[in-house]
Amino acid sequence: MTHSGPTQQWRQLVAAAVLGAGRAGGRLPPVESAPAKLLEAIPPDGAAHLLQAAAVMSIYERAGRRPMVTPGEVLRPSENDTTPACSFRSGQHLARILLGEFGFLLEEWCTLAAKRGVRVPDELLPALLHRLAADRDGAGSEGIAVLGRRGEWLAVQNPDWQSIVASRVDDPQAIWQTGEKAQRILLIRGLRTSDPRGARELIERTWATESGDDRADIVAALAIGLSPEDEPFLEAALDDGRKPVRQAAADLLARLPMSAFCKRMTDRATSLVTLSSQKRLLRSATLQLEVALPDKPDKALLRDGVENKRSGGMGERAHVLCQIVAATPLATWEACGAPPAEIIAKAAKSEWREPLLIGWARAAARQRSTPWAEPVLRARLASGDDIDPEEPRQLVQALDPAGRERVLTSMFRDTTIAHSRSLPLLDCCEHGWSPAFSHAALSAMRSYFGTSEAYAAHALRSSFKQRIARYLSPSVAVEIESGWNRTNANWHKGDEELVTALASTLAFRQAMQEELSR
Amino acid sequence: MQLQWSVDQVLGLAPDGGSAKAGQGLAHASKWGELGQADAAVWGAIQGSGKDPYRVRIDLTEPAFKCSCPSRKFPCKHGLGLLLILAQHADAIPKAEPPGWVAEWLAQRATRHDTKVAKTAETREVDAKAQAKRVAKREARIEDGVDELSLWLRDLVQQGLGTAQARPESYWDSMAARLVDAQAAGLSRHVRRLSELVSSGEGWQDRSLAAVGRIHLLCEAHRRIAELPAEVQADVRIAVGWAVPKDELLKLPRHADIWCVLAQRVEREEQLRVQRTWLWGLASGRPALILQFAAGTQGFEQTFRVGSQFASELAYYPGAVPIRAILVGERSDSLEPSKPLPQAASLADALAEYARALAHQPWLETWPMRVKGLVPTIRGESRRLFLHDERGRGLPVVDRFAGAWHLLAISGGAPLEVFGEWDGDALRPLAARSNGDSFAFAQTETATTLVRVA
Repeated sequence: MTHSGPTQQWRQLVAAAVLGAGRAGGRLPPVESAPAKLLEAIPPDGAAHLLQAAAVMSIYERAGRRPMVTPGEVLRPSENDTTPACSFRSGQHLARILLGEFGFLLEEWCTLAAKRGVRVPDELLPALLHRLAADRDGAGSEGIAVLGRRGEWLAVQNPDWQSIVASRVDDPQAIWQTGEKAQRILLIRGLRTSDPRGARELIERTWATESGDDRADIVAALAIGLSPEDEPFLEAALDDGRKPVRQAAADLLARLPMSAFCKRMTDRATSLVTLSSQKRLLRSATLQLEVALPDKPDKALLRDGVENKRSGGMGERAHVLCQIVAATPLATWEACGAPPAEIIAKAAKSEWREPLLIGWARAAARQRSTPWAEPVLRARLASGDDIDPEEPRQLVQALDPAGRERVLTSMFRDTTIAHSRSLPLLDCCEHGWSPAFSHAALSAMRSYFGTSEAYAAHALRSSFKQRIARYLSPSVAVEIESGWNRTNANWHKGDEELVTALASTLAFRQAMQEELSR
Repeated sequence: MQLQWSVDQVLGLAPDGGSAKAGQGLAHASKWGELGQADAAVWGAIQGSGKDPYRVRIDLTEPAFKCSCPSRKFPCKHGLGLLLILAQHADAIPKAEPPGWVAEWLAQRATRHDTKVAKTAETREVDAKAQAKRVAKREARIEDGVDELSLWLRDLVQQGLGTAQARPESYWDSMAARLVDAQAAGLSRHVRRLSELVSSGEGWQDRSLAAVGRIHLLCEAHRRIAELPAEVQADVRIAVGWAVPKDELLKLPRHADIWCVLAQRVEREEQLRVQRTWLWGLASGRPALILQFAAGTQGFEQTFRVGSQFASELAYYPGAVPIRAILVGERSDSLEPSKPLPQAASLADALAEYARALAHQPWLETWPMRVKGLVPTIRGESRRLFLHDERGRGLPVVDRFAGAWHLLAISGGAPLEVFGEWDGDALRPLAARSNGDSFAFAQTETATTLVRVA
């Protein structure tokens, strides 16, 4: 109770009323003090008295209540913010984003605001924190930068939000030990950005008691802030009883070129695949490629996450080779002196095209290597092999922004590659597009939408609506609504909606960027 | 400086969630033609399903909307969309002289104001004799209803509240229905509320007995109504269910003032929306509550924008502690933010003032409370919000209050000035001031947001 308690008289009266005047009989409480006068005329028993007493006393009690000191800690006020809040207009843009329609622009708003050195207005903090806590992809790091002292102070007080500002929480252990799974993963992701070692140590302390499902997700969360310091822990996880845990650990170890894991893989790979460049007198170097298929995998190879089974068009042995290549540092192959493109061209003509190219594709994606991802992607698309649709997407993501734009622009020009194959790759180009690339992408879209081939491309349309407009350069705003095949019989209602959506998102982004650069 | 529109405030005007969402979809300047804005108006045209584009005009002073679309929702999605553009992308709307179709409407509105005032001033002719007969008949029925309710209450406390708690719904329903038949809707509402209180969880005994006490007091007061002072008579009649006719209100003294629109809340009761707008007189320091009703998605007769102020005359409903009022004079809105109110009361003073009001009007349901120096804190497993004064004394807040984190966010642990509706047990915060900034809560169907109003 935050109020002074009810008087003794009122409590007795309530007790009598619950029991009923019939049963309470003559035991009705006498009323004293000020209200007594008002009740003098009524005989002090029975229902009439009870009603009259309730009427008088309830008002008396209500009017006389005084607030009481409630026990509990006094809140430590938030520190003052040194960064100013964003402008009113920018706040309105954020409010609109938090409402949902432009939810996908949150990251951009936060990045721009952080760059501008402004923070979120206080009154929008609850909605932003709510959104960041629900965001399991951990896209929150931009958001955290604009919370300001006030936002961090607020987040620490709500158990649902604490893990967002894990580095500011006095005691992350408490969340780690008692939190829900999503909260715990969010905590680890947050901590890994500021204190990767602390986060790993937190994990190690409770590792033995984690369930198998949780262990795999916890290991995967170490991808953020990954460093050679994590190797002993990951190496030990290769002995885990659960396959997903072992695979997650092997995947991360393959990204640490100096690890014992990578050395083992390099030894295996170089014993199977030999690349040599021989320079003869007066002739340019010629590249030699020799491949020996591996034996049935031994225990050590199985421990490193390699599986002994067929995959796609590859037999067991070829697939083992492919997995070894995929886990080998790409620099290994460059030792022969030839550039990646030449190596790939050589392999593409060989009998072992698939295991080698797929292996390099996976390695390029894992190691985020533009020099390898670009030629592998071109070779794979040109090969005519059946390709897992995820593979080119991962390769595009592994490329640096200039590489992505280069590869896709030439794919759009290449008449042998259907737009239905190249356009879906646009939504893996998660960076602010250059004006030239934005223009090229729009041109490709114009020649695709409105054709009979595009008529049923509903999934592409809806993914474009949300994703393309957040990367397009505002410089194409002037041309965005023109040049479409609107008169074509195959122009779909959804196509018009897509164009409108692109135009409005772009206009919104322009206004948002302008306001945040003022 | 002009008072700026915020997105959440615009969406708070939407009659339902569908209009709010559709309005957002139209809030893109590229979809509009003939866009323009002047000091107190904004307009534009948008292609809808009709042959000609719909023409939308908004008078920003109240605001008032006019759209040529056939929608019966008010304001319609087009009006909301246009106002949203103004809120977030005002530069996209060029400054201009209002074209004919806008200017005409604005002029029409100005003259309509005048005629409205003139019309309300003339008293309607009524058949006094027939009226008196009707009133006498209704009075007799209400008296019967009051007698029956008194007996029912006696029986209820004779058997005990414990027994009442176990009664079937029909026990409460039939009493409430009989009171409706007796044309005592107010009493009927009291009975329904009592039926909710007996099953309201911890502390139900206290709440129920207090409610029983208040109903009994009302029955007794009605029985002796002739002996009571005139203001108390009015309170009793309103509490029982008599409506105060408008022409009677117009005869009452008028209070001219600059009225600040402090806070607003819309409650949905099945097909009816009830809008509660709290005003505060700058000169008089008096609060006033304007109640408006709208069916379904129709609009309210008048719009009040939180954070603005206007000059007008109000007439208060009669009673010992007048709170509810209607606008009776011509209204002149300002586009400026409202002036800051004088300092609010301390917690102790605010409660003392409430006690005084209660002494005059024991059936007081909501009391406007403006308190300074309150620090919001969220405590306990239930994450309940408390508002503490500097001595650590706490004011309880209504259960399931959705804006707790918002208040915490704007306070940062420092004291706030809070305005809200106090029901005798708990406060429902509706607006707050922190460090010179004013905020008010706005509701949409899906979310509660705190809007910066000045």
